[in-house]
Amino acid sequence: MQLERLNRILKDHSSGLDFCSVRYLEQKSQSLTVRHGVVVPYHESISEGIMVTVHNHGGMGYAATADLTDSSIKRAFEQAREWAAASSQCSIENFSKVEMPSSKGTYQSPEKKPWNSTTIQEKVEHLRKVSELLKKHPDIVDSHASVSRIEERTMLVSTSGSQVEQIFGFVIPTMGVTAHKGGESVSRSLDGFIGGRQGGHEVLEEGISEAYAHQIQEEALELLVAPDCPTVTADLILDPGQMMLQIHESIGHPIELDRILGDERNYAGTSFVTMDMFGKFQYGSKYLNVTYDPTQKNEFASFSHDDEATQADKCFLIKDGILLRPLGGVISGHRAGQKHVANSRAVGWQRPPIDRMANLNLEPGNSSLDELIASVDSGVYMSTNLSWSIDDSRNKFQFGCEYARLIEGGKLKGVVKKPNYRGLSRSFWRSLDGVADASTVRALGTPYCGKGEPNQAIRVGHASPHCLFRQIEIFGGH
Amino acid sequence: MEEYFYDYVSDLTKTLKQDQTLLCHYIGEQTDFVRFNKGKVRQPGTVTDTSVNLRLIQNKKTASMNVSLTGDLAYDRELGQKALRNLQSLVPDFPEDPFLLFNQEPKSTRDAADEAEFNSMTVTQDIVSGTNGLDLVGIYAGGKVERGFANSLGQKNWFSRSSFTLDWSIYAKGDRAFKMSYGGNNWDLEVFRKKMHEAEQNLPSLLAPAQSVKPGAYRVYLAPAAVCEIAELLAWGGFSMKSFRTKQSALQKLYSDENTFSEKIHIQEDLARGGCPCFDSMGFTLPKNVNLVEGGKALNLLTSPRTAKEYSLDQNSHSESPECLTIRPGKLSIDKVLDALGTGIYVSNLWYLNYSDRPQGRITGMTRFACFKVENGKLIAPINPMRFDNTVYQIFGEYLEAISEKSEKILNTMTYGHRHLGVTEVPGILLNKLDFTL
Repeated sequence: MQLERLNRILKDHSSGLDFCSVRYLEQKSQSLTVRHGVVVPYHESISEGIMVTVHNHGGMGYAATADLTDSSIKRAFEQAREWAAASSQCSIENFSKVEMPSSKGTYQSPEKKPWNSTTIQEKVEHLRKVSELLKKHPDIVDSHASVSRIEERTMLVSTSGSQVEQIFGFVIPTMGVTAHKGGESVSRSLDGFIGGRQGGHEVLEEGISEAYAHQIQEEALELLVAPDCPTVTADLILDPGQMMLQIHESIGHPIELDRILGDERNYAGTSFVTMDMFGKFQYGSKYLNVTYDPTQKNEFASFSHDDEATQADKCFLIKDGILLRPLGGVISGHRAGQKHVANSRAVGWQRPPIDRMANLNLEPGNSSLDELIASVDSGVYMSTNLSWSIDDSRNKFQFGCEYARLIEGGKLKGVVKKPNYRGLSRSFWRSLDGVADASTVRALGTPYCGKGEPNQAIRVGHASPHCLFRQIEIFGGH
Repeated sequence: MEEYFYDYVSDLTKTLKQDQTLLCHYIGEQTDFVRFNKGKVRQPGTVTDTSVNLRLIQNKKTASMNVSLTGDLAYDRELGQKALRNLQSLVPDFPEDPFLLFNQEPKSTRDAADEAEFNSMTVTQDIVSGTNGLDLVGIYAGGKVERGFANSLGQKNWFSRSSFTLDWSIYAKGDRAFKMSYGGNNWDLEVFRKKMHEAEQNLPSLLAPAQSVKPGAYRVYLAPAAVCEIAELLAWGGFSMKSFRTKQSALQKLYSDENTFSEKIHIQEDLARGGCPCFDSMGFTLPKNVNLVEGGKALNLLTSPRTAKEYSLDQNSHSESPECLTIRPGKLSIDKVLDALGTGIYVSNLWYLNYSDRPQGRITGMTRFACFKVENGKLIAPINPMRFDNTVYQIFGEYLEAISEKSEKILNTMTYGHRHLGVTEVPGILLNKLDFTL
């Protein structure tokens, strides 16, 4: 599909409509895995389709299809029109009054080394070599080294004058082991499933390395003989691998505008955040500065425009602890009377755009990691998310990590296993008492943020340094 | 699409080399989705999504590729041939797969129920007009779902349903709501009206000021929807043979005979109820029933073809995750649930369950929707959301007091990637204790 044809399709079928857009997506993906020394069968996927969106006489409708013949596309327009007509008298909003973006642009993911600079077999051999290292010890009962590559080309044209063309390359390296001894099992991984970034072959090389393989295996064996994390109320330092999850679940989701507007109440939930909090609510301590930044190079969810053609910009969502603005796209922004950001996103051509966080980052502070640790008399350092659970208003949470070390007298001490902690989003961020500097920032990303009806699991990126929280409820296994 | 798919596979088969086998697995749907909020339409649309997974096998080597199958002959033929040529060039360079297992004794089946007695536009109007000003939030999904399998050995399997699901909540106040669902192939407005009327009648009970529950142990009744959440968490690797063999199952201790559930607990994977296809992507026919837990003791695990080959077992599952899980009902009369609970917490739904210690089977999660404080068998007030943290051996074992005499069929309404199939059928359970932590 070329841009010229897409524009022609729009022109041929959109007459008389208040608004119409056509969004095209082509996605190619590859999946390579070596599990405990055995090459798992290689898998590739190609998907291509369009979604037509119509706003007319107050109603809205969409239709999506993988059949790109002229007759099928014509049918898609008819279906979208029918839905707009059917909903014109019973829509939650007068969609014809929404001023849809008029924006043009292009984007291409940065890449240091082309993904195809090695063959598939060479990549498999790389994974296999690392896998042999991972499984070396007899107490390692399972292991995997995997990489997924996704390439996407998207185009969007609209009657409001938008034309956007974007080309993406994503790489998700994952690596992990399970160790077992005496009835106890522990797991240790490279960033769980959150190591995704935009880029090329360099992401595979940086992620699936012998050095990381040795580290993961050693730490798993440490965990196997380590005592359980103690049950205490104490200071807590979280590494970027866990900060990612903390930011995601207890900042990102609660401030999604469609949740606040009630759209997600049947599934993903609502929010403890209310509209009157923006501009004044003390979300966190003075150390909490959170930005929304799809313009960040290499981060997993970077783009130039969202899926309704709003141009991406960096903005503060929380500054010096004060909640400034929600995460809402053009339609939610109109419904709520709030300024919108470029976060109206769809996982593919088969799903309509809804409010989705993209890159949500905690801005670095001024302390070194050593200074943060030195400031803790008694506490725990936790690394890499393992478990996550939070209530439907995004307030009461409980999270678990893979690996932890005690902190005593300002120094890191012994390893402890099964570290968990729980709290309330409303108060947790006010206990933030230190943010490490830029040298500790890691940009991570996961493709598994689930939300929406129909459901969508989308890519998100989160960059964060290490952070220190005071007096948190911490516990281990029973 | 059925005959088209078989012709497509037959066409591709003609270009195979002598020592090559081709397996094709088709997933298709044309679904109308209508999203509701505050009793009005939020986002309606239609998605037509059809794709096929091609697996090439040659001398114990294999690779697969997923491509669209649009119904446009010229396009599909070109794409399919290109994909097959790609696989033919890649597969010889891969190592032999020691765990490759596929069905080589063709067994063809057909299970098609395509009669659709509903029209999505009419249903949408019925829903909007039937809300009577109530705050209805939810999702309607209706249309045809199809699954197919065919291979170069002549096997043909087809499954199709025209069906709808409506999954919705009626909100009273804040985060308090009644959650309901309705599904089938015959939309009956009276069924929907009856459910709405019932919710409307019960809404005042949710309007009372919510009470906070102090952390501690409480007697609890988990309604079927809440039990379903626990079952769905356990489906995430708990009954998987591969997870068990690699010491990662949440039910490791159960299946190692180191622990048991109550003898009242009987759990089964029950595909006989017909909500799912009986074939998998490697051409195997799945058994209709697999007894997973009998009388509280572990019996069978779910074994995929790959795992079966690795450990020299029989395969009995596609993904090692149950799709139609059932828990046998018990003897507690539904009318007597509150009396039997006495003083405690009635939990209609649980939410966001996860493991706090997977090897020990310890789970945590939140109460959600319509949960109440109960005193002396009477509903007193709704409660603010509470977190629990217990092991499954406590929930299905030492803390289990009774099981309700009736189960509920809870349709799988997940739509990640495509409409999921399956139904979980579970009763409610009365616990003499559940530990609320926050």
